[in-house]
Amino acid sequence: MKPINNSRVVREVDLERRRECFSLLGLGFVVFLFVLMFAWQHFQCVRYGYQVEQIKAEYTTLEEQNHQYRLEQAALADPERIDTLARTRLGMVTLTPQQVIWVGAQGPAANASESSELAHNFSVGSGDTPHEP
Amino acid sequence: MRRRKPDSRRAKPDRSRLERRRLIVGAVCCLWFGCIAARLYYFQVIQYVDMVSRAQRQRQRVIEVAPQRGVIYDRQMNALAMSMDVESVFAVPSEIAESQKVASRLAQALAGDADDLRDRFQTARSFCWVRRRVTTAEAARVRALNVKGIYFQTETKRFYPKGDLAGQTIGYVGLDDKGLGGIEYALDDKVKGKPGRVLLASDARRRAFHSTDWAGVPGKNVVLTLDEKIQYIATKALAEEVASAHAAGGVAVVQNPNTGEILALTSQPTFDPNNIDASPAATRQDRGVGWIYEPGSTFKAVTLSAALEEKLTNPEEVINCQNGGIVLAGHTIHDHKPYGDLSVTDVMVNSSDVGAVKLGLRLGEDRFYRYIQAFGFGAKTDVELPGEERGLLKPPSRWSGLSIGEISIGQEISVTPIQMVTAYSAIANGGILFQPRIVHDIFLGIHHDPLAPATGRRVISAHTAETMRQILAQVVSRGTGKPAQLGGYTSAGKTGTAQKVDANGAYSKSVFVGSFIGFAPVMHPAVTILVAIDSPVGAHYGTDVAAPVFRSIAEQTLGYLNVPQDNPSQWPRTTTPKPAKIPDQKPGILTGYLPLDRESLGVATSPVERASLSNQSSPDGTAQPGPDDWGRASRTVVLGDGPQVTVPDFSRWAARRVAQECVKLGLYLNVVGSGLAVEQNPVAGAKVPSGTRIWVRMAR
Repeated sequence: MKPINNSRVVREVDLERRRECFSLLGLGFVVFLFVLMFAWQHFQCVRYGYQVEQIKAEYTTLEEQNHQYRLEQAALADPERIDTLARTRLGMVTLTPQQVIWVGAQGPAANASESSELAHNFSVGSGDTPHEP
Repeated sequence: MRRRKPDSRRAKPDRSRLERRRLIVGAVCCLWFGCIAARLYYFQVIQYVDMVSRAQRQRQRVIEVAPQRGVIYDRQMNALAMSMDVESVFAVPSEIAESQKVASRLAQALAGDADDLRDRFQTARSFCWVRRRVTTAEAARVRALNVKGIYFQTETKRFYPKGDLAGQTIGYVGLDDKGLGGIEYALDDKVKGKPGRVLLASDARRRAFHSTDWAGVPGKNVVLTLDEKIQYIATKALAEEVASAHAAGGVAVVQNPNTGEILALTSQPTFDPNNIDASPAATRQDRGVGWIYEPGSTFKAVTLSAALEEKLTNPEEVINCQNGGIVLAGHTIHDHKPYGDLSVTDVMVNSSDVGAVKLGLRLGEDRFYRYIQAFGFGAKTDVELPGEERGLLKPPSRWSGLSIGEISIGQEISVTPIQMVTAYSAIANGGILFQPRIVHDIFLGIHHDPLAPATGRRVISAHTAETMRQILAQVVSRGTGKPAQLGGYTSAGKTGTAQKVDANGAYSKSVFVGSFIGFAPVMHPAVTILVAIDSPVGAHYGTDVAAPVFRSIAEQTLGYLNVPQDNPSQWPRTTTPKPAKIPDQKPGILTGYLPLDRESLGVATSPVERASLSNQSSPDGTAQPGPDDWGRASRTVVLGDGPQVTVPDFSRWAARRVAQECVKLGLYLNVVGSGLAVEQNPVAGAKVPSGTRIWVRMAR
C-alpha cells in the first residue's frame, strides 16, 4: 500500500457550516437555558409552595393560640372566679349601698333628676299606638 | 511483522452472521422500544384521564374544614361561648399489629377502658374513634406512645368560659356541634356557619406543598342583652336563697323596663354546658320562658291597672273588704287576714284578695280579659329563646262563675316569668309594653344583621302608670314588700304567694310559689326584677323568700349601673345582710385545654379598691354591716375611679355629634348601626369614670 502524505493538505474552512454549527449550538444553549429556567422556576415554585404551606400552618397555629388566649382571658374574667379570689385572697367584702360615699361636689340626690329614662327617649316603632282594650 | 492475509472464505460467513446479529439486536431493540412506546401511548393517551386522576388521588387530599361557630357575647362583649380547635384520636385497626397491647396503652394514656377499645379495634377494620375532643395533655400522651395506626383529627369544641353562668339561656351543643338548647339552638343557623374545603397537594412524605382553599363561611357572632356581671349578681343571690329555702328551684329576671332588654335571666337549679352529661335534663330548662306558674298576688297589679285605666276606681276610694271573705259562685275567697274598709292603695299594700276580687268584678269578664291580653298574657312574648310557653289563659266563654275572682288575685291563670316582668316593666316605664329582647346584635366582621327595632304598644296611660308606681312604692315602703326596701334607692313592687296545684288537681296547702316583682328607682326605673322561688320549705311567702333576693339584686345592680341614688338618706332597718357565701372554686372544665396556669395569673385590682375595702374585711371574710352601721360605715370611703363624667342623653343624636361629645368628655364610643341614636348604655345621667366605653345603637 502506497503511503499518502496529506499533512500539508489544509481543509477549507466552510464558514457557512461553522455559522450553522454555532447557531445550532447557540439555539441549543438557549433551549437548554429555557429548560433550565423552566425547571428552576418549577422547583422554586415547589419550594415556595412548601414555605407557603409551612407559613399557613404557622398562621393556623398562631390563630388557634390566639383563640386559646381569648378563651383563657374569658375564663379568667369569670365573675365567680374574681369574686372568689377577691374574698379569699384579698379579703374583700360586698359593699352595702350605705358604705358608698359619692365623691364630688354634687351628691347623688342632686344628680337624680338628671337620670333620664330611656322610655322617654325611646323611639317606639309602628306599634306605638295607644292600645284601647 | 508479517501480515496474515485475510481468509475470504471465512470472512464472508462472519460478516453475514454479524449483520444477522445486528439485525436481531436491532429488531429486539425496535421491539423493545415499540413495546415501551405502545405502553406509553396506552398510559399517556388511552388511559390518560384515569392515570391523571390516580396520580391526583395519590398526591392530593381534600380536607373538609369545619366552620367555627360564632362567639356569643354579653352586652359588654365578654365572651360567653366560643369554639376552639381540639384534637380527636382515631384508629385504623387494620394497621394495628397488637390490638390488645395498643388498647391497654391507649387506655392508660386516656384513662379509659382497655376492653372497650380492644372491642372497637376488633369490630372495625378501617376506622374507629378512640376518643373525641381530647385535652392537650391527653393528646400529648397519646402522641408520645408513637403507635402505628393511631391518628389525630382536628375538630372544634365549644367552650363556655363562664361555666354555669346563664347556662340555660346560652344553651349547649351536641357532639356534632349542633345547637341543642338556648341561644345555641335558637340561632343555630346563623351561629354554625358553612364548612369550607382545602385541596392539599402533598409529597411522598405527606408534606403539603400546595393548597387551594374554598373558604367556608364562619358562624356569625351574637351579642346578647345580658350583662355577665348582673347575671352573676342575680345567679348568686337566687342560688343562695334557693339553697337556704330548700326550694325545688327558682328564677330571677332583670329587665331594662325602658327597652325591654333582658339584662339577666337565671334559673335554679342550673347546669354547666361544658359538661352536659353530668346534669339532669330538668336542670336545662330555662324557667324564665319555659316554666309556667300561677302568679298569685303579683297579678293584682294588672287587675288594679285595668280598673284605674277604666276609671272604675281611684287610689283613695274605700273598699269594704268584708272582714276577709267574699262568696263567689258558692265559693268563699278568704284574705290572709281579715280586713274591713281599705282604700284601694291599701288593698294593694295589704294584698287583700277580697278588695282585688271586687275590682275584678267591676271590670267584668270581657273587659278584664282584654286587659290581661293587652299586658301580654296568654301569648308568647317572642323573645329569641326556644321553648317559650304561652301560659294558660282561658277565654271568658270558658270561665266559671269563680274565674273572674280567682284571676283577679292571680290564680286560675298561668304565666311565665318573662311575661310577668314585661308587664311590670310596662307599669314602670309609663305604660308601654315592650317586646322583651335577649339578642342585641348579630354580626360577622363589620356586617351586622339588621334586627327589627324594639317595638312597644301602650297598654295603660302614663297617668295610670304613674299612679300604679306610687301605689306599688307604698307596698314596699309600708306593706308586704318591706324586705324589698333598698338602701339609697326608692323601689316599688308587689309580693305574691300562690298555691301550686298538686297531683290531684287541687290547690296544695303546703307547696307554694313565693315571688316578688318590682322596679327601682320609682320615678326613673332603671331595672325591673322578678324573683320567684318554687316550693320553698318553711317560710314560703313572697315577702320572706323573694323580696330579700330582689333587694340584693337591685342594690348591687343599680350600683353597678351607676344609677344615681334617689333616696340616699334611706337605710332600711331590715335584717342584716347574710354573710356572703364564698363559692367553691371548681376545677375548671377548660383547664385541660388551656396552655396557661390560670391561678398563676392572679387578679389585678386597683389600689383604690384595695385601700377602700381593706378596712371592711372581717376575720371570716364576710360583710357584717348592721342596720345602724351608717354612722360607723362613714369609716368606709369608696373613692371614685378618677374624675367622673355624666353620660349625656344621646337619643336622636347623629353619630358625628355623639362622637364629638364623647371625645369632649373623654369617653370611648362603640356605635352600632346607622342613623340616629335610639339606645345607649350606660343610661343617660349615669356617672362613669373618664375613659369608659359607651355603647350607642343607631337606627333610622
